[in-house]
Amino acid sequence: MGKILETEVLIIGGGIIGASVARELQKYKIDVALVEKSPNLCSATSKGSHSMIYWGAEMAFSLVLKSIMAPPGTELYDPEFPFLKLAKKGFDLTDNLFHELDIIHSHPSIIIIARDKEELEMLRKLEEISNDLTDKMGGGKVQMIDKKALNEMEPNVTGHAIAALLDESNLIEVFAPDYVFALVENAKDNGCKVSMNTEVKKISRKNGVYTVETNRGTIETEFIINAGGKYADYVADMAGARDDWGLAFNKTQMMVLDKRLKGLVNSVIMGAPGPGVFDFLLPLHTGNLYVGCGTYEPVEDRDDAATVRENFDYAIEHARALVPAVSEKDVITSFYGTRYWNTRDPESHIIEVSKGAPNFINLVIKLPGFSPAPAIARSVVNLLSDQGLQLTEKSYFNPIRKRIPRFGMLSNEEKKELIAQDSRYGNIICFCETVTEGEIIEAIKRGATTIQAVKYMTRAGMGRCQRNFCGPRVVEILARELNMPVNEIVYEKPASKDILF
Amino acid sequence: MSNEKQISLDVVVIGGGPAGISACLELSRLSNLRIGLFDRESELGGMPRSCHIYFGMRDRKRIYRGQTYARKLDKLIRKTSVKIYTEATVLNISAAGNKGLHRIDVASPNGFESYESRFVLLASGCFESSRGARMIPGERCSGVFTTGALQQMVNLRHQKPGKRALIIGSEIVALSCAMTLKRAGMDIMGLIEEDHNLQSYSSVAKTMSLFYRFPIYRGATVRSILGRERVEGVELVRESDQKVFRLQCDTLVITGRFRPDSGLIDGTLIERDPLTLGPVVDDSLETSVSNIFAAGNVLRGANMHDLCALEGKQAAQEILRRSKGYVCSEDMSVVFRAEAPIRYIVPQKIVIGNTKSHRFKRLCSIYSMQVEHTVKNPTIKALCDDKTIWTKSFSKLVGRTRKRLPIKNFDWKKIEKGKEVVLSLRN
Ligand SMILES: Cc1cc2nc3c(=O)[nH]c(=O)nc-3n(C[C@H](O)[C@H](O)[C@H](O)COP(=O)(O)OP(=O)(O)OC[C@H]3O[C@@H](n4cnc5c(N)ncnc54)[C@H](O)[C@@H]3O)c2cc1C
Ligand SMILES: Cc1cc2nc3c(=O)[nH]c(=O)nc-3n(C[C@H](O)[C@H](O)[C@H](O)COP(=O)(O)OP(=O)(O)OC[C@H]3O[C@@H](n4cnc5c(N)ncnc54)[C@H](O)[C@@H]3O)c2cc1C
Repeated sequence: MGKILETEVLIIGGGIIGASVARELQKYKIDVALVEKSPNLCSATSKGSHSMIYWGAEMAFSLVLKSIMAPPGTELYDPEFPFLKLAKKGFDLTDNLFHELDIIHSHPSIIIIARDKEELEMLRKLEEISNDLTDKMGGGKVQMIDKKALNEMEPNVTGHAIAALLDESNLIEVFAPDYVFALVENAKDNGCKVSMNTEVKKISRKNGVYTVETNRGTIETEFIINAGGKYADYVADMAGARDDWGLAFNKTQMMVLDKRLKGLVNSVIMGAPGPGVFDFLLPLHTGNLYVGCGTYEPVEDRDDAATVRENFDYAIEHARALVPAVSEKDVITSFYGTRYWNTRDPESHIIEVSKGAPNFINLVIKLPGFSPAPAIARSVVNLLSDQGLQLTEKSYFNPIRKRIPRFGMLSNEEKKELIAQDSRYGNIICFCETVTEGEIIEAIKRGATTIQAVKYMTRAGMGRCQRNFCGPRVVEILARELNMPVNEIVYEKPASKDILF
Repeated sequence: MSNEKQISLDVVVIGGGPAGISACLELSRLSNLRIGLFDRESELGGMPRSCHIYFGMRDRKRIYRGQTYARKLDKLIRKTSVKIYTEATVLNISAAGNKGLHRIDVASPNGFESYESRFVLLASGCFESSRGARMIPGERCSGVFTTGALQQMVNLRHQKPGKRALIIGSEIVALSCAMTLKRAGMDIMGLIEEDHNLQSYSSVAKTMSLFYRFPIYRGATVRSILGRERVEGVELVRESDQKVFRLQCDTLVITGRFRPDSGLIDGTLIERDPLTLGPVVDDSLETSVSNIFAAGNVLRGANMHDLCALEGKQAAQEILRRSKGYVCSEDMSVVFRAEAPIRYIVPQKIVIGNTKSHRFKRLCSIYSMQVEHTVKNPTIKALCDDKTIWTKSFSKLVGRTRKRLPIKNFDWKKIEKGKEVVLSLRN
């Protein structure tokens, strides 16, 4: 296969990390390309993520939870951990980034409840760590609240709660694909080349230039950024760039509940951490309730995302222990998320130039990956510059991206105007989420080629009927706009030919 | 919002399926009210447009194919003065000012409009619970549909979704699904029902399985859907001995477990029944908001279309009475409550007080219930304050199938106003 591209920097992977780097590098006068093996961005770890951008109580929670699960006596809180600094820096950059990229998000409070004395002790510990974090690095303080104050704020929380820890300022809620798609759209607008369905298979280096073989042809590049996420080890091995790390995984099953529960709770409701227990209910900006009550399960095959029946019962039971009004009648979908981290130093990210391969940067990110993402992207700029890449700022960098109009969220006047401009905005395709033909066509214009990409970019099919009505219509619109036969339109991954979805 | 223009109507009917159209036919036959019928599809007719078991028995006293029946209704309604809006999706229902009027906002390719009217009839139908809602575990592969999506693809869009299909569920709609699959030229690899009994009249199901030559697996639960990209089969567990076995397919159709398409009542004052997930109605099919009525499948999930049509007609008659000045006086207001395995009772309330009247006898006929799964030799008991007011034994109640609830046989003397009547099942 022939050469398809020459570039200075090639980013492998279109998850949150690859996307963040792609956008950040657009600020400089260099050629950048991003390849993603699947037909959609945000298709691996980033897809199955809670994608909360957090600091404060939630960060303290994750540290305490890990300490509980580590061998007795282990304390995993050290304010000097570099990953904490990056998370805080990323957190601080996020609001402005979301503003520039017009990404819908919300700032819910977090309420961690205690149902007995032991849990109350846990809350005190969380309070201490969280306030220590924010004292040292900035951020809003958390506070304990009593049962009465809790009931006033969140009357639907379990009556067994005796007290709670309240964090009002350290969380941003976002739909992961919204974030990743927006970054890449903006990167593309600024000149980044993006190629989907492009899997890197082999990497070689000659005369200071990498030749990267993909299923679509070869790419020549000076620098490689390995943002392969949960496949980063495979990518590194292709270039002999894996130094001394490997990847480890675990996974958790989650579910999403019907938006008729909108307003049932307005804050994230979490249970106190216990061994392997991480229970929370997250109200999404869409009105749905996200149930993050799952266990940490071992992973044999990193691509195995088959849901398991026992987990449904577990999730409902644990969700009810937080908010009793939750019921299985409101479940609309469920899925697995698979976490990855490095085995060399599990408490750190790997953000470094490989010892084995020059100009090859590995980005092996531990949890949380969304919180530090904008800061990690900046670190990559520094690494590239250290490696001698000339980085001159572009005066014409355009940080602004406008999202696809969300018909359902507009005022009546705006709706009227939009339909008057383009009648396709009056043709409702997804009834549950009020998504119009106009929005779907705009998503296709911006690069959607699969049913899943349309779903991620517009919410068509994400409502309570789960594509019962709109599924076949979306296929028809995709086929028409892409000038393809209907039976070649796929849901996510290419399937055999004479078959739909 | 107050200075926006609204188009004024007397009755807004949301949904042009059998229930909505029948209501419009009745209203236009008996009154000069200004009626608007709204449907989001480009054609009227509702669900029968895409399904093809025989239609029209009880309402039109004749038998039609689904599409023919839909066209027939369309033709009849177009002869009346009812204003028809197609490709017109009703986005929400709200109160218009303080005169007790209602307002709906409608989007269509022709523009965005608001309408104001005294009466609203919600007849927006239902859909089948998705795989996600039924919590069927396994891979998240493509090739998994509901009957509704399958029938839309095959009957309206002339697409062939695959070659070899498995059907999950045995409610009547599963048989409609089998016919559609055959029509699309697909092989049926089997029908899976987790209960030991079929959830429809077993003689019909068995005849069909012989005719189309597919096996029926009863008492078997799907443990996992297999296939990373396209569905490749399912792993079943047989309840009796916990034996696990696999079946192959490239298409999986998940049938039944209907739920009302009642998104329009989200965030309104219209009360929702947590059991049906549709609106709560009384004997006039009126919801908890005055002059907003509901009829058809939006009340409780799928029922035969002819009953939906008759319900639409009944709601129309109530609207007419109301428009002529009749005021509803709540002289009874008894609430019905179903205990599992009874899935629901619809209507959920009765307000009419005179249990001797003709009207009462006529209204009684619309009460129905459904059991969660097929039960043999059950006895149903209705209690009010621990007093038994009705009891009846059956040889069998078929799961997820409508059963008339003969409330006129209840011992109404023992029922006090404002009380709750609880229906329970023993077997
Ligand atoms: C259940 C769960 C909950 C989480 N909750 C949070 C949270 O609340 N907050 C938070 O900040 N973080 C959270 N995380 C962590 C966060 O999701 C990850 O840190 C982040 O998604 C990692 O992104 P990534 O871009 O590194 O990896 P990925 O998303 O895995 O992206 C890698 C991409 O590279 C592509 N790729 C791989 N190999 C090749 C190749 N050879 N050629 C071309 N492309 C290739 C892949 O297809 C993929 O798209 C959570 C994770 C999970 C699983
Ligand atoms: C998959 C499936 C298969 C079936 N198969 C059979 C069968 O073979 N035989 C049989 O007798 N019965 C069958 N039924 C049942 C039968 O179709 C219904 O009983 C009958 O159609 C119900 O009539 P309805 O008027 O209540 O609802 P529907 O026929 O569903 O009509 C509702 C109408 O409302 C419209 N609508 C909804 N919301 C809005 C809105 N917001 N704005 C504008 N318009 C709106 C819809 O477009 C639709 O046209 C089946 C039902 C389903 C779902």
